[in-house]
Amino acid sequence: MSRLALAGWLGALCGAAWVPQAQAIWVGDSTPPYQARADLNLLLDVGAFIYLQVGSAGAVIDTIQFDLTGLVPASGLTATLPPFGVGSASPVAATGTGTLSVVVRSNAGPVTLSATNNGAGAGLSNGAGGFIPYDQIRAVSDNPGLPSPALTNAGSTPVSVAATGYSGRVTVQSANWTYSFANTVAPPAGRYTGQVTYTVAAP
Amino acid sequence: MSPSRWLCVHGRAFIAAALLGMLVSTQAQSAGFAAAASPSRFELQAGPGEVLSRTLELQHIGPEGTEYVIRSADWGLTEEKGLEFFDALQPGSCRPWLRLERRSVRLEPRVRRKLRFEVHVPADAPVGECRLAILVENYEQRAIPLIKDSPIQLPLTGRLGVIVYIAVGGAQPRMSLVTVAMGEENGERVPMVTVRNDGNAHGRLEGALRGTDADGRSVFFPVSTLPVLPGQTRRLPLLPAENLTTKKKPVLRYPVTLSGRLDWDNGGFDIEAQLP
Repeated sequence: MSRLALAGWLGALCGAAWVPQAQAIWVGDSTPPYQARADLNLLLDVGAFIYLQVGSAGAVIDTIQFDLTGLVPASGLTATLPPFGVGSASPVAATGTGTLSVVVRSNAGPVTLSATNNGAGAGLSNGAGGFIPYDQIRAVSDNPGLPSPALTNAGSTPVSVAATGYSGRVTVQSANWTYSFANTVAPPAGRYTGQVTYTVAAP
Repeated sequence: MSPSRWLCVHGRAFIAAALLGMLVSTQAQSAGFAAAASPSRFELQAGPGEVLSRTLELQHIGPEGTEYVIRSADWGLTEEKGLEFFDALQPGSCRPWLRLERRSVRLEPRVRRKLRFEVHVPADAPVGECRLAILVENYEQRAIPLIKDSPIQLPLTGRLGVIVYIAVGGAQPRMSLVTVAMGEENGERVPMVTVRNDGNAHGRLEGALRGTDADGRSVFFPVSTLPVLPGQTRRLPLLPAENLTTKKKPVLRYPVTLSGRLDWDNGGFDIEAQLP
């Protein structure tokens, strides 16, 4: 997007209106060279907005994947041999792209970010009675100003997005969150799915 | 310069620099969820039996048009738990008062779309504050296809929570100052003002205190504008204002002497304090 287009977008988004107003003032100048004075009052109205971007380019929702099928059990002789077993507490990196890009912007004061999931309090499900708690899914942010809310079966503990300017009034933050599987549980076999929704708000 | 004058003067620079800064830094990227809402919240007043009508502007920043779902939720905000949203109707919820123009909306890339909503305040509504949220979600999250041969998969998406306050029947905050003391904010030791709201509507503090540190350095401390809900006591950080040119936070040596006035909707607090 060109800067011009972006400027238009921002202006339109913010509902910005710049209304110059001129007012002539009689100064009673009756001798040459004559003078007149006009004050120009400027009013720039910037509307409050909030913006959230979750994920990379494309219309497809980003999906984090983990593959534990290559891991041997965490007990017995193989427990200390690499690859460490399921439930061995050795974190497992995501397969494919394990990083999520996140952008938060607002000009309306403090911004909070929280996460919810569709697990009804039980965790990721394999559809056959097996669950993996959401707190097994960890994310580390490369920007302390935009931390990733720690996932739990109940959702998350909300985090504050650090303001970047104007003493807490403006927030422009972006981060990459890298996900891993904590691997402290040994769930039954199956394909586990869930869904996490990050919510941003400026209360 | 008084704090209010400081805010006035720097407010202009704030607006211009905020827009400029965002222009420079923004590289709009397409994404599964990439949406903006304006305004970010509504703070309205109404009488019993009144109908309020407002519009929310939505915009999708992405390469392809996307369907968004619009719905309401209850919410709570506490110092311990932060901002929480509740899908289930909470006791005393006023969400039944809300009428959304539509439940879903297709947003084309970078095209603004207005969403109208109404709040129908019942004739017998008691004096108090109605609080709800309008959630803007990505429609696709309802049916995300599974990825073949992936043992564990977790789609990640986003949502905007637009907060709506409606003060009914003249509901008002009634703020009182509890204390000014040092506290911790994001691991940083900062001055905090603690206020209590004994009214029946939320309140906010506005303004900045002038601070002078042990080396005589003068810095303004604007107060956090987080809301204080009725019945709550909340600590609000006073974060030292950064240098508008360098954007750097000032390095202060305590003790810091704070003085000035912090305003709320119907009053203000004159503050003189020295913090160790």
